[in-house]
Amino acid sequence: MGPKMENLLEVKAIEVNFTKGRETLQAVAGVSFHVVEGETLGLVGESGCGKSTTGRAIVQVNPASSGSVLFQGQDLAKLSRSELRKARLGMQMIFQDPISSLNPRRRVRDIVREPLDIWEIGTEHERQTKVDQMLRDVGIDPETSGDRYPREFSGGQCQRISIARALIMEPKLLICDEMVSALDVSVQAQILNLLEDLKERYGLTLVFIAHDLAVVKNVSDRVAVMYLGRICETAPSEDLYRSPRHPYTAALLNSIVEPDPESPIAAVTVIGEPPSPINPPSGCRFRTRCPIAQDRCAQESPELRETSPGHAVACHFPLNN
Amino acid sequence: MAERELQFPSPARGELLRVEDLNTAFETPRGLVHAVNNVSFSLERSKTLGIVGESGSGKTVLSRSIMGLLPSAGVSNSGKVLFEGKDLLSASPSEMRDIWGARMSLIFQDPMTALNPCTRIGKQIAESLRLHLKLSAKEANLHSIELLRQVGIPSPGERAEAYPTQLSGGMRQRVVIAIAIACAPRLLLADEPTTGLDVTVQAQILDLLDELRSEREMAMILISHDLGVVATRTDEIAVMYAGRIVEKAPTKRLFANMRMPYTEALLQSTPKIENPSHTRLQTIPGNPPDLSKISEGCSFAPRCAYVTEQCRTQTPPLRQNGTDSTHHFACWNPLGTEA
Repeated sequence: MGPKMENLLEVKAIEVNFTKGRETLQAVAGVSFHVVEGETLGLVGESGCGKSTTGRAIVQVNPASSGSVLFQGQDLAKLSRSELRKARLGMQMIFQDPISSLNPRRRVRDIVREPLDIWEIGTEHERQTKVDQMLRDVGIDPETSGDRYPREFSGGQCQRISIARALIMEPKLLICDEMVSALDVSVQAQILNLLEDLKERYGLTLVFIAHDLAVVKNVSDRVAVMYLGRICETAPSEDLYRSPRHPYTAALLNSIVEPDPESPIAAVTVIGEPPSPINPPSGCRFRTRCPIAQDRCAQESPELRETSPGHAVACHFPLNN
Repeated sequence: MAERELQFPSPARGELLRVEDLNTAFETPRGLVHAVNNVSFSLERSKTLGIVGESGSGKTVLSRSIMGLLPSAGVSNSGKVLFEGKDLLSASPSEMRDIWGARMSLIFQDPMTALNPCTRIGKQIAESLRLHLKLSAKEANLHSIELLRQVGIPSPGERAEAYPTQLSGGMRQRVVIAIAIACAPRLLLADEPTTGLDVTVQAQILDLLDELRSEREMAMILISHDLGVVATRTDEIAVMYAGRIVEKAPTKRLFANMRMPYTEALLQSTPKIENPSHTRLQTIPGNPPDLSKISEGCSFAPRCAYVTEQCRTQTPPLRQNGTDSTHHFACWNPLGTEA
């Protein structure tokens, strides 16, 4: 993690707590990472691991209760409301459910155009041209489809419209939260390819949050694996998938079902399910399911340590691959 | 534990289910929607058939048609569903009640809504034991705890007293499985049994289903949108597109020698873990067809790379792959060479 390339985003030891009555749920418990301009960071983990909450904390939808989020060197928590609104123009989010994330009562053209209207960018004609161009870029024909409503489109097409809306203000950073999980594989492939093309054309930096390891590998340069609110391993994607060092990463990779009848069914190495984040295990949070856990794991929480350049693991007994 | 041995004498071999030319259509304001078209297949005892397809391909409606779970109003069914030699499409509601749960059962996709939220899980399992096997309340209770143990629920005695909301998604799916297998059915239909679950839990549930299937000599139909889920745990796979079976073969043979372009396209558009990052994915252009506007010709023709004039005008029949009587496909311009 040298300073040779510019960090577009830096997340430093953020914690996000949700309280209900007397109970506190720590969804994110001290997460740090950086994203270099132009790269794609994959954030992967099972449900409840805090990956979506991390994404939402970055754009300050549910701000971190401690720690900081630096975007282009600016600490977002220290900005005033109007400064934050401006800073947010540089970061956009795409959500999982493409249909419910679009206003059903507005036409596609107006949905994509709205940010331009709010920020009063360009003349009427310029806005129209820009919207048409953007729709064409995501593969929606503005002539035939611009005046239609979201319900007239399939899930894949709605996701294209969401992308157009996110990109119309030309953001630097795009946060994709499970953006292809609701789509059929054939449509999912179209959207993933489209995302790669647009990343190139618009010079985007991506944080790609998903639970599907094969999808994450396809889009990411680097991957961070989360478990119960913490990052347990982060590495360049080839490295992570070839030689995982955290037992949890290894278990995740073992659980993948490959579309190949000749591939052996790996013995399941993790037992049970993730414990409740309301009452997480002491020490290493994975220890209750870990096949190699020892006494030390219960007492001491492992720090994220670099074991080789760019490859960091939070485990007292990392695997040797 | 005082457990009564439950015996269900049944031959382990031979045909269990035969579906012949099944058609299911729904009357809707937009016209007749043909969800299942001319589907035929048979399933041997103790075997697993995988049904794979994208959303709207008719795989879920097919499972409901086989089970006889579709409402009679607005639904037209034709063809035959022969289960243990009996045609279920002409069975009376009371005959079906004797079959559901006892001879065949279904696992739904969503374990959150499949259970009654107001009843303890032990009681939900005991219900079918009492109804079909006529066990006493006490026997049913003991047996349901034993079933919870078999599906891998820790401290089953205590868990039997829990309500569904007190369990995680994976645990609820295990309870749903326990209910489904309670009366030792001969056929288990599992409709996307792992779709809402995490990957580590998915692997556990698939292992569990396969174990139960082989222990109990039960046949299974495993329905999924994910080729990965069906690839390693089935004996045979049927690929569905627009309500039809477009290719069907023993699992290994299908992967080794795909004839239908859709099957291949489906496999190629799935991201593979062994490929390097940023590998360009093969895509299938366009979207699946609208089932209310099915016309003559192959339904996949508008999206197919090998389309010819014949594909647009004539519907390809499901035909045998050369001399291989186990492999069938529906295509005028199949991939590869005749086996």
